[in-house]
Order: sequence, then C-alpha cells, then structure tokens
Amino acid sequence: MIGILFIPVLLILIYVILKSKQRIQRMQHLLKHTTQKLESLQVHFARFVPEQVIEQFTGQHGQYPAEVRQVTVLFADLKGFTSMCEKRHPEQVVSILNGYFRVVSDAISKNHGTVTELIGDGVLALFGAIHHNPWQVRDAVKAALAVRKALVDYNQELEDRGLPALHLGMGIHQGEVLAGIMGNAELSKFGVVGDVINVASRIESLTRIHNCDLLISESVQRQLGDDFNLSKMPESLVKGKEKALVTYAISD
Amino acid sequence: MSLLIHEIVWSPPILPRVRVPEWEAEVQDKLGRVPDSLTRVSRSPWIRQTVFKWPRYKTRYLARRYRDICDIVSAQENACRYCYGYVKAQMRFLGYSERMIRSIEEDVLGAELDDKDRVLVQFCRNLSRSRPRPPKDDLQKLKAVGFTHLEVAELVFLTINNCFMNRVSTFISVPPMDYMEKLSVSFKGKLLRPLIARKIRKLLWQDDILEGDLSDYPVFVRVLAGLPAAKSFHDAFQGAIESRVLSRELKVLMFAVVARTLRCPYCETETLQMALNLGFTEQEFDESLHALRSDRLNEKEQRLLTWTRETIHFQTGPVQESVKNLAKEIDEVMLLEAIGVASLANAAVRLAVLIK
Repeated sequence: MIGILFIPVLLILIYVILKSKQRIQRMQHLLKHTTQKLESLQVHFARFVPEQVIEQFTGQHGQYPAEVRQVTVLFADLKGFTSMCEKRHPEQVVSILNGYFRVVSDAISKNHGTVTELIGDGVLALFGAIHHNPWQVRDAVKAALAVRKALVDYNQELEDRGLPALHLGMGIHQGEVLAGIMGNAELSKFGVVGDVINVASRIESLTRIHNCDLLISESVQRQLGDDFNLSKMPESLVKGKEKALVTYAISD
Repeated sequence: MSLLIHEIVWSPPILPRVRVPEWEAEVQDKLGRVPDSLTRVSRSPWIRQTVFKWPRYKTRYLARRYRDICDIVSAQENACRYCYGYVKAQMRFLGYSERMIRSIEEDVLGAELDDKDRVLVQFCRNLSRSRPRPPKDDLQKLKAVGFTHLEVAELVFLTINNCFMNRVSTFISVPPMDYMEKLSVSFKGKLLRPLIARKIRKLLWQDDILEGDLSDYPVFVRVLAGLPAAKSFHDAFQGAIESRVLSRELKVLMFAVVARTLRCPYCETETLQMALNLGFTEQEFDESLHALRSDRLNEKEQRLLTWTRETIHFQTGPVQESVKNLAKEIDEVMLLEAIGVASLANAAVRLAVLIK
C-alpha cells in the first residue's frame, strides 16, 4: 500500500519543486531586469541632477531637507549671445551652446564645483553646496580662470568651423543660501535660494561696464590672499542694492 | 553611486615593479609567492609592511562572515578594481553563493542577508564613502542589532584598513589578479575550493595586543585598545611619521587637509598640536591650510599637498589620471610615499568615528 502511494507522492513533490524553481528563476530574471532598469535610470537622471544629490536623496529614503549652507556662487553668462542667435540657424546655436556648456562644466567639475542650472546661455555653478568644501572660494576662482583658458581653445575651434567667437562674463560671490530639494509632489528640483545668487548675477553684469570677463566680490577677495593678480574696480550701484558694490577683476 | 566590477575604469599600472631581494624572500617565506602589488610598493619599508599585513588581518572578535562583507562593500564603494576582484574571488573560494555576493553588491534586500548584515553593510558603505562621515548614532545602530563594543571597533578598523588598501591599490593602479578571478569561477577552481579556502584562512595574520597603559599612545591607537588592530595601526602610523622621504611638515599638513575636508575637529586639533611641535605658529598653520601652501615645503611637496584633496572623495579614472600627471613631475619614491601618507590620513580620520 505504502509502495503504491510513494510513487505519486514523489511525482507530485518533484512537480512542486520544479514549478517553484521555475517561479524563482522568473522572479530572479524580473529582479535583474528591474535592477538594470534602475541603474540605467540613475545614469540618465545624473544628467539632470548632480550625482551626489541623487546619492544622498536615495540614501535618505527620498528626503533631502533644505539647509542653510555657506557656498560660493559662480555665475557665467555669454555677452552678445542673443543678437548672435538672431543671425544663426537654431541647430547651429544649440551646437555652439553645447560646446560652451561642455567647456564650462569640465572646468567647474575639475575644480570641485557643481553646475546646478543652465539658464539660457547662463551657467550657475556652486562650490560647497552639496558637500562641505573649506576651499570653495579658491576653487571657484580657479574654475573661472580655467573657464577663461578653455574658452580661448573653444573659440579657436569655433573660428576653424567659420563660427563667431564667444565672449563671457563671470561673477563670483560667497554667502549663505538655503540648499536642498524644493518644489511639490508634481515637480521638484535641487536648488539654492538666497541673495548671494542675485549678487553673483549682478557682479557678472558689471563685467560689461568694467570691460572685463571676471569679477569677484569684496568678501571673496578677502579670503583669497595674495595668490592672484587682483585689480580693484570703481564701486558700482546695481539693481536691487542700495549700497554700491566693490568688485575686483582678476588677471592671469 | 556604487559601481559594479565591470563598470570600473582602471588604467595601466602607474608605479613599476621594483625587486628588493630580501623583501621578496620574506614575502615568499610567508605567502609562498610574491604578489604583484607588493613589488610595486617595495621601495617604502612602512608601506610594504602595511600592504603585506593589513589585508591579512585576523579578526579577534568579529566573525569572518562580517569581515568578508565589509571587504567587498569597501572595495565597491572605493571602486578599487583590484581589491574588488580579489575579494569577490576570495568570497567564492570561501563558499559564499553568487546570489549572496550579488545581494551585497546590488544593495538589494536579498533573503541571504539578515538585519544584522544590512546594518553592517550600510555602516561600511557610509564610513567608506564619508559624504559626510557617519554620525556617532550609527555606532549605536550597530550595537542595537547585537554587535559588542569590541566588534564595532574591529569593524571600524577593518573598514579603514580597506580604505587604506583600496586607495593605495587604486592610486598605483595595481593590475587585477586575473588568474585568481578566473580560477574562482572555473570548474578547476570549484573543485579546489576547500583546499584554497584552507590556504586563505591559514594566511591570516594577527598582531599582538598592546598591553598596559596606552595613555602615551596617540588617540587613534587608544580607540582600538583591546584589539590587535591597535598595534597594526600604531606600526603603520609610526612608520609613516618616521620615514624621511617626505618632510614631517608636509605629512602633518596632508593629515590636516583630510581632517578639514571630512570635518573632524578633533583630528584638526591633533594635527595642529603636531604642527606646533614642528615649530609652526597657530596662525601659520591655519594660513598654510587655508591657502594649501607653506614656505616650509619645497615645490614638489606643495604639489603633493594640493593633490591630497583629490584622495578623499574620488572617481577612479580622474584620480588615476591625476597620479599619472604627478608622476611626470615627482620621482617615484616620493610619489609612493605620498600615496601611502594620503591613504593613511584617510584611514585615520575615518577611524576618529570611534573617538568619544
């Protein structure tokens, strides 16, 4: 009797084991596929948000509370680009811009900075916003000098392609900002809020008045020491500020 | 983001193999062969001793399983292709399933990892990464899942031991051990697993415990009291300080750069004290650190001081590129020494998580 029962029980058991194995394999396959998709998503996502922000965001269960941080802001903007756009085909404009963003981003990331926003032809780069950086002021100035140098090469490349050279203005300022992920459930982004951003932008706009490509604020100058060639510029009033701004130009 | 082994960019070796017969004889005697990595650090007595001993550190309190998990997590976090491949192959020989290894690498909540494992994996990742350094609370999390104080201290040492080893191997770009990696997945390797596993266990090495009053020792040694790791760390630290290839001023400033970047006020105070003993004034030390420049350093040392920043948070490709560029300006002995000091500074400042 036991012998007769043994064979069907064994067959059922083998069937159950094989089925379970198949199910596990399917689930493993699904898990592998999902992991690959997630990794690919993370790689693509890093083009839109600084990688370190994603790292921190995912590591803290989707939380990235905004906090006050001391940062150095580098604001760069192309001079005369709007009029150039009017004379060029949009595809050509995008190609010129992409090359320019590459040049600026490389110089900034090599000097411990992060490009956080591209606003038209403007670039907002931060030093010390994502991670503590005690050398943020020097890094920002070195990055700006590297941009200046790299732009000479890029302009040569543009000239070889029969395209006009680019002229850049850069402003650097340091101060406190609120940094973090901001927005609502539908749309959020990593960003910084604070007067220091506006001031950096105003300083950049003064490069047109002082006829130079790089200006720094007085607070930045105070922290630089004597490693850089600085020239004090005449004090200037800017939009939104009651007090005139003291700026310094930097030569190589 | 943590990379998988095939995603790591790895350049050809940056420092050459250099034969030092008496050293090779010592290694041959203990290991039965002379690994490539040891011939590339042979010109610095303290670095070669540390690279020889630290990877074989035998834990006194922490179970082997946790040590292996810690090794693979650190190698992955520091994206050290050499160490990652070596540890992965070693885990296979020691009998870990591919599924378990994958669970750790992909940081997924596989059934092979229990709560204790997961807390440990997270801690090792955070300490290796140190963006920022894990807070003291993380030590409490380890204790809450059942690790004792000595196990936690040993885990911290293992992680910083890996941070040192991963950095040295990455900055030199030690070639991966292809033979061992291939053997670990081959039929022959599977057949020989018990024998190889026995050999791996036999090669472990343990230092003596420093007995008596440790109050005269530096704090980095005192926090490891009761563990063989205290002597291991002490020997490496003394070796680095006493070596004459780089000036003491540079070494102190290199430690201070790492301390400041990783925001360790305690370590900064310690380095300030060391600087004062060398004749710096407090203002001079602060200015040197602020400008990453000191009149006490020669031109090559200035370059090495600036480079120290690249060793704290790095991506493998760019950091190996920066070492290659340094190698054009700085002789190999000096470069090797700087690689060792920067790696040890990164280890020491991370070890400070144990300071109460």
